Order: sequence, then structure tokens, then C-alpha cells
Amino acid sequence: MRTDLAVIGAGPAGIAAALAAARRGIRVALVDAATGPGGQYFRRPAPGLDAEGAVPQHGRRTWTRLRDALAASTVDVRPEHHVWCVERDSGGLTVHALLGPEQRESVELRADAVLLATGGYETVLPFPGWTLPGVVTAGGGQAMLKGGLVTPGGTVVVAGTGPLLLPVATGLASAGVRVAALVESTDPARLPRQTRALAGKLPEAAGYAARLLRHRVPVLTRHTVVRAHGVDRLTGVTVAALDARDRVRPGTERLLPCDALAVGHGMLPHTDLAETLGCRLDGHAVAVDAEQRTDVPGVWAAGEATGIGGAALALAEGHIAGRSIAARLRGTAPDPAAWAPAAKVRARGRTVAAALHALHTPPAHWGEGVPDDTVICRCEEVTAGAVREAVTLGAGDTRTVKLLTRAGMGWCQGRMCAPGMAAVTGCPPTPTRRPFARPVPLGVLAAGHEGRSRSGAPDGAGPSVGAAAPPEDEGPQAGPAGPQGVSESPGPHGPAEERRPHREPRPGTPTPSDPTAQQLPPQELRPQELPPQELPPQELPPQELPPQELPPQEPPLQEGAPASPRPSESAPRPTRPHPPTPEGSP
Amino acid sequence: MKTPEGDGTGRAFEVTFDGRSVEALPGRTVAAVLWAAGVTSWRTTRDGGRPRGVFCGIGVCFDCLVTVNGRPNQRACLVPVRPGDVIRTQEGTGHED
Repeated sequence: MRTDLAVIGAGPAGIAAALAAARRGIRVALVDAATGPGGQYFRRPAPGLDAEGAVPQHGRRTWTRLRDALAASTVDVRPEHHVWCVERDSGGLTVHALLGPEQRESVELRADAVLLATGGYETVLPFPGWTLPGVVTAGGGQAMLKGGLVTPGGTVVVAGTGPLLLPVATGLASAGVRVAALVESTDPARLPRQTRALAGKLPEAAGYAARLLRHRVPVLTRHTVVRAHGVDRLTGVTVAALDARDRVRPGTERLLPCDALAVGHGMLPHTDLAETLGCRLDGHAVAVDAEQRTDVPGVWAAGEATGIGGAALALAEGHIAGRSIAARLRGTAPDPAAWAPAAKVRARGRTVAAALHALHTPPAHWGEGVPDDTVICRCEEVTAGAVREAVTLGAGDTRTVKLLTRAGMGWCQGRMCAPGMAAVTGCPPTPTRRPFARPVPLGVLAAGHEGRSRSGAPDGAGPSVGAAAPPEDEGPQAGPAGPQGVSESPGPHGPAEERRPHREPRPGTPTPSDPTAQQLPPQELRPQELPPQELPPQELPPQELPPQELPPQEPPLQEGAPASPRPSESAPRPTRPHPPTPEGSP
Repeated sequence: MKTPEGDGTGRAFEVTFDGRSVEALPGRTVAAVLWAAGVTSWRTTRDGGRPRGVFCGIGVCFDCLVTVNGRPNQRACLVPVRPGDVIRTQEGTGHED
């Protein structure tokens, strides 16, 4: 299958880009892992639940507009495509995707241009008890509510830091859950420094404050969760106040009984596909120019992948990217004046995002307070003590710690533990390079290699790996379950070293330089050593929300994702002419 | 535009979790069905045998791995439930039984 543009990720950025390009005559395929477009921001109950409108949805009007526009467009929407790699060669770009939900079969999509709109994921810093069932990420709790109409418990504490906590707390409260507290570590005294940048957000913040008040949600600022309690599942959390130096003030600890904790400390961009392509990063985000182009020809990026900034910013960036791609694929230079309104939204959005980021820095010294027996790497069950021991043994960076302890080598490939590793080791967090963006069955890799060998075409002309028969079992997976596949199994284009794009370190850019990122060490699949355990009794069942019993739709207060100023109002409106606006740097 | 349609029936159906019958609504993920049934953990870890369930809820963390129809290591937060699914707690790697 060949198309002009493959957009990876059907959230706000991807949809905006797909629409903008399709309107200009470009053939667009919009691929996403989910069962339909929308991304996390516009996540809504599955059609089968027949519950549209049952739970407050983010940016409902914007979503309706985008959904209708997509339906009327020529955009080829391809759900349940789990993209695991994008390759570039002289003939263009190849997107490799596993077809869901089984993810045993891989397909290829050839395109002249690719837009990476891969979004972001939440970070959570470790604390005692954070692996207990009942502890979920703030965004995870929200996703389960928005998509499945279920909540993690009847009494929830929402904690951490960041703008996401507000919609999570109010969303759960309006779904009938008792929110025992909203625990935000940021010092409100920091706010005045950001007032100017955040002035436009004040009405939205006031709306959340009103809703928290209405639902009688206690708000504890300058507080943090120091421990989650429970044996086999969560029964409560201890919260405590922080002092001026971000340390727990002795004597302020108190227990809040709850059966769920929704916790988050910010977000990180998904950059795996960009890094495999060799795109330059700016910190944790994909670096782009004023047209949203990466430094790799044919590859654009927009939305959270280029920096966490919320849905309005993502829509604007996506729109600009779509117009740029349409022009560039025709061999012409785009006229930035044509997207000036979107550029204005983008500039404002980036200012707001920077201010929110400065406001919601997680508490300093977090790692010092993590006890030795607290698990840092959830997949490999590596404790803070083991990590500290590795540092004592001489590990000077998180990658060496990984080699010594296995922390970060598990299923999630270090996505969840990287912030905790950085906090405990004191080493700065650096993006980890992952050859594949998700687990890939070895059979898929082998079939792709075989197909290419047979065709005699080492680059891009082989038959679809999807033609191969899926293995009996999913077998060991390259990456998480069995990284030996990464090092020992050739990829679809032969040995990984051969097809890896050049990554010249650029001056001033923090470029990962870890040799282990090129080739992951073999990982033993350890046999289960412990006897099977009975499931613990579920004393506190999570509360189900029967669709028919959901409270009426809240007044149309804009639910906001992180740093999202009113998508419906700030969405790009290219018909209104504005003078070009100078762009702030990303 | 091509989008998938849900089965649209809106009718509840049965699946099993560790042998007991659980009601499921179409369009829900395995994780959502289990939460609705009062279950919050469906995996024990390889080393410590500790219970785990949903953490990130969007397919990133792999904490919610579960065995569905004999196939281990399925992310419960992503896999849509289907009538008759046999869902089992995954012990360790899930390949041991």
C-alpha cells in the first residue's frame, strides 16, 4: 500500500494535519493503535457501550467538528495499527505496523512523507506502595473512565503535580466518585511569577476551582503522597506537607483512607519512532522548525511529540504541518502567512506550556526520600537499594545502572522507571533509544527478513511481512519480553546496524551515546520461581459506573488536558487573515 | 473515511475470569470488564509474586498483562473483550503452566 502522507497518531495533532493535507489534495493515511481516531484527549466510550455523552468529554465541540470533517474527507483512517518502526530509504518512507488487537501480523505502508504525531505518556515518580493495585496514573484513571466508564474505586485521592490533575479530579468527582483530596506539590506562591503567561488560563482554572468546591474536594497544595498503604491492594495513602526546600515537614503526615490513588508528575513525549529515524531531539522532544519539519527529510512532527503542550497547541501544530507537507510534496515552498492564525495559537500555546512546566516541577530531592525497599523498575522489580548499590559500585549514569541491575530492561523498556531512576541516581534523565517502539513478535521480524532475502531487495522493495503466517504462540517478543530478539534477530531490512540511520551528535544537543542502546544485551527469560499465588480477596471492589446511572452532563466547562487552552476556541481558523506572527523557539 | 463500528448491540455477554463468570459490555477492554467486576489485579510478578493490575491505562507500562484465551502477555487495558473470552490471572511470565 502506498500513499502520499502517513500520519502516525490520530490525536488532535494527527487529525488536524491529516485534514489540512487532504484538503489540499494529498492522499493521507491516518494510522493509530486505538480502535478509532481521537487519541487520549478525545477518548470516548467505545461505540458498543452506547454511552456517548455519559461522561464529560474533553473539547466536545472540537471533537464533533473534527470527526465530521474526517468523515467528509478523503483521509484513509486505519485504526488498530500499532506502528513499531518507520524506515527511510531512497524510495521514501516505510511504516511498519502490527495489526491489533492480536498484533501478530505486520503490514507495511509506503509513503513519501510521514508525520509523527505520537503524543506523550505520563511520568510517575516512585514512592513506597506505588506498585499496589489501586494505584494508577492520573491519566490512566481518566482513560479508563472516559473509554470504559469504570473507575478504580469508590474513594480516590488524586495526587502529584501538573495541570492534568484538575480534569482528573473533577472528572472522577462528577462521575460519582468521592475524591478524598487533590494533593498538588506545587507551591501556589510560584504562581505570581507565571501570571502573565497564564493569564489566559485563569478562567479555566477558576472553572475547575468552582467544580472542586461544588464536589467538596479538599485541595492540599504544597503536599505530597509519601506512602501508599495496603497488602494486596490499596487501602489508603499518607500525605504530608512540603517545606520551602521541598522536603517533607515532620509531623505533618496524615492518613487518608482510599481505595484508589490517581497520581502523575507530568508527561514525556513519545519519541521512539523519531529516534529510530535519526531525528534530532531537543531535550526530550522531537526538534522541529517553523514548518514542523524534523531534520530528517520527509519527516514532520507535531503535538506532544514535539513538547508537552496540550490539545490546542497540538491542533495548531498539526494544521501547520499538514499545510507544509501539502506544499512540500508538490515541490513548492509553503507561505507561512497562510497559517498565521495557527502560528499565533502555537506561539501562545508554547508560552503557556513553558509557564505550566515551570510551575509544576516535581519536588526536588525526590530520590533521597525513596526508601531502599521501594521498587523503582516496576517490570524487573528492581529496588531503590539495588540502584543505589549500582551507583556505589561506580555506575555514573542510568544506562550503567541498567546494565548492573536490569532496571529499565523490562516490558516497558524503561519508560515508566526512567524518571525514578534519574531521581534516585541523581543522573539527569536522558531519552532512551529503542529500536522498536513496541514489542514485535520474533516471527514478524524473521518473516520480514526472509521476505526481503527472497526478493533480493535489501531496501524497501520486499513483500509485506504481513504475508507470513503468524506463529503458533506469540512467542518471545523482541524488546520487552525477550530483548534477545533485538540483538540476535535481524530486522526486516537485515541487521539492525546496517539499517540504522546515521546519528551524528550535534553541537549543543544532548545526544544519547550509549553503546548498549544499539544492541541490547541478551535477556534471560527467567522461569517462574515462586509458586502460583491465589488472587488476594477483593475487599474493596472498584466501583462501576452503569451508564444509565451516570450524573447528567456537566455544564460546558472546558475540560482541559495538560496545558490546553480551550481547543474549540483556539483551533486554527485559517480563514481569518492575520499578519504573520514571529515564532518563539520551540 | 473508514472507521470500525462497534458490534453495536450494547448487550452484555459473559466471559470468565479464573473460572468464574463475569459480565462484560461490548466495547470495553479486558481491564474495564475486570474493574467493573471488582477485580483490580490479574497478574503476579515474576520475582516477588506481587499482584498487579492497571497502572498507566494506555498501553505503555505493561503492568496489566493478562492471559486471554490461553495467550499470555496481553495488555488488558488495550485488548477489547469478546464474548466467551477465557481470562486468567497471569502468573509470572505466563508460560509456566
